[in-house]
Amino acid sequence: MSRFEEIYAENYKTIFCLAKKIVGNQDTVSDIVQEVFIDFYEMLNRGNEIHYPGRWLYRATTNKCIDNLRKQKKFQGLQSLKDKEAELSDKEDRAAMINLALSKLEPREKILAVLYSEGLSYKEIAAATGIKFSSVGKMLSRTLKKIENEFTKQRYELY
Amino acid sequence: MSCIKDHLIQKYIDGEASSNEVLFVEGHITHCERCAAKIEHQRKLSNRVKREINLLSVPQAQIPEFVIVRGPRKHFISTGRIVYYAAAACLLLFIIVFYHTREEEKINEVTMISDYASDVDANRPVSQQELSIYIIDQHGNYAEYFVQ
Repeated sequence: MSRFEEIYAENYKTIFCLAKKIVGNQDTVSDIVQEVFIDFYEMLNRGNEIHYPGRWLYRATTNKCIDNLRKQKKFQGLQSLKDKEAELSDKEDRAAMINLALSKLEPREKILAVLYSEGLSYKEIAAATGIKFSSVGKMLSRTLKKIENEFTKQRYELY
Repeated sequence: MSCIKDHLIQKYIDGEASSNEVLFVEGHITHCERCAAKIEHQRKLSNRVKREINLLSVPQAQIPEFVIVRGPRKHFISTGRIVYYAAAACLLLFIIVFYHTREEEKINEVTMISDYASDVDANRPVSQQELSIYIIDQHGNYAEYFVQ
């Protein structure tokens, strides 16, 4: 088994879950994950040494997800977001509610919240997102506050 | 004493605060109920958000086989590049033709150099000056003539 195959088998599920939480759409997630691993494969093929493949994959995935979220935001009209919101409140689906709350965040804040839910340390979050280590706590408390406000707005019982 | 800032509360509950910060927070909450309540609220919020976000992940049962499909590479040459290549070819052609012509001229050329053998005497007519002529033919043969 080659080094790439080992890393692929070890990290595929984690990377897929990460992208799924951020992007949501299954097909888009599969594309993103495949692109990340193709980039990684080509990096190895060019003879580049990657000392921490896990970190590299996290960073590459978050960057691709940010690009995707920015593209989505560009094409998503305000009206369609309102329709989606109305549709979801009827379903009272918890997963859908958090998804909606996350969709109101800036791409970087969304990534931060997702990485936090993965149980990453501040140091790992900083390495994966490029946010300054000293700013992670501040940005995180602000992001959690925004999510809480969104829940309250949707009359969602948090506790 | 000032109350604990939100970002420090976050660092404290995530175990990311330094030992000095931990001492400050724990000392402060012994006499500030408001901050103690804020910490508890933030801890619950963090745990709840983590749990809710984790609802979004669907465990992927199977890892798909990694296959790189590479189609035949298309050799696309832009118009700019074609112009560049044509210009380079023209320049090369010009250089080859120019040097070739010069080479031909050299082969058929007979060089004649005339000079006065001694100092010119201004009081004598040109026909009476000692003139030397050097002739170099196309094969590089050298001949010297003196005219008196």
